[in-house]
Amino acid sequence: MRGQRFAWGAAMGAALVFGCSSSNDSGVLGNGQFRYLCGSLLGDAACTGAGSLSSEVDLPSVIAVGATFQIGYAPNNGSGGTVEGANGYEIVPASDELALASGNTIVAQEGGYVALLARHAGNADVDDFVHLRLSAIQTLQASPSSLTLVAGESQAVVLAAHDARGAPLAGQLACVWQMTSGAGTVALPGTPSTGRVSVQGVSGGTATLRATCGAASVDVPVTVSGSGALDGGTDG
Amino acid sequence: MARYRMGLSLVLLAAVAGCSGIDHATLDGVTTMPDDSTLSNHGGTMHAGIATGFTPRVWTHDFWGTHEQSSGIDVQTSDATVLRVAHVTGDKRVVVWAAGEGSATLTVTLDGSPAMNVPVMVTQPAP
Repeated sequence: MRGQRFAWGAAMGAALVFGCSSSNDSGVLGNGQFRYLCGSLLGDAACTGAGSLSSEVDLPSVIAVGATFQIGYAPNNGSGGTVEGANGYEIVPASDELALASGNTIVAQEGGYVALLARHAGNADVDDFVHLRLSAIQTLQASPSSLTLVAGESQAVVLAAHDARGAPLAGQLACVWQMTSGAGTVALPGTPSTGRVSVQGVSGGTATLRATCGAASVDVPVTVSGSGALDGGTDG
Repeated sequence: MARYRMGLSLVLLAAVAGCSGIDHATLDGVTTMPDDSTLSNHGGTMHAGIATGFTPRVWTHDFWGTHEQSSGIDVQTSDATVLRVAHVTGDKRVVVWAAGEGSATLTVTLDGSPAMNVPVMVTQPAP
């Protein structure tokens, strides 16, 4: 019960941070509702807190250029609600210059407003559309901003992106993670490419982890104490 | 008298047959766009990526006056790489969206005949 309340609160908090309201979801033509899907893309700041309680949230105000996101559409029914689980629609960006789509997964390409059209699969008719704003990443914030680990211990670092106006940016970020100093002190399991990474302490020392997303980057200092089992130490 | 009747008939025939046709057309209820893009009966400038919806309306005139048409109205684009058009499900509106930079002409037609041309320029996305 407490966890459910927390999830609701976190979801509401995320909605407030991203400036969402239910009115954002209505299509311009009034024929249906657009929703921001959180189901399968990890590390999207707009979905933080949604957890398992809800797989969709209100449309965010701004989405990061280079980020991946998913949009769903449900047409209105005759009694003022929406037809849940409706299929037969594809989401089509108005211009490939701004966004590329594959199914309901969209990758932001360039800054500006882009209309997303809910189009009937199989014919050219449009049911409704909505505009989203895409903006380049100006600054990145890492959370936590620094790490202190024991060798063998792992901790996640999550990035938050903002544009030149200071607006928080939604979308699963496309990032490159690299060690700029202290190679061998920590390990990054897998090949992290989003705004979330798991950092594992390997051996005692300091290191600097750098994340680059678009033109912005942020450094995360890491201190590892002890000599863990990973490097053949004796304390594990 | 016969000459008078014949003359009157000719005048009426000319009025009915020769003076009927498309009177004017409008783009009605153009939806608000989120940036400074514009679209009106006379023309428009849209940033790439922007869409708008409206109802195309056409009036014809004949000897008895001007009449709004309720069917046979369509909207076409001269260049689908610049400007695209689609019908809206279940009503008479259409959606027009700016797909790429360049110039195109929207043509409102009645039974395939042009009723109005609207030049539209599509510019690069607004930052």
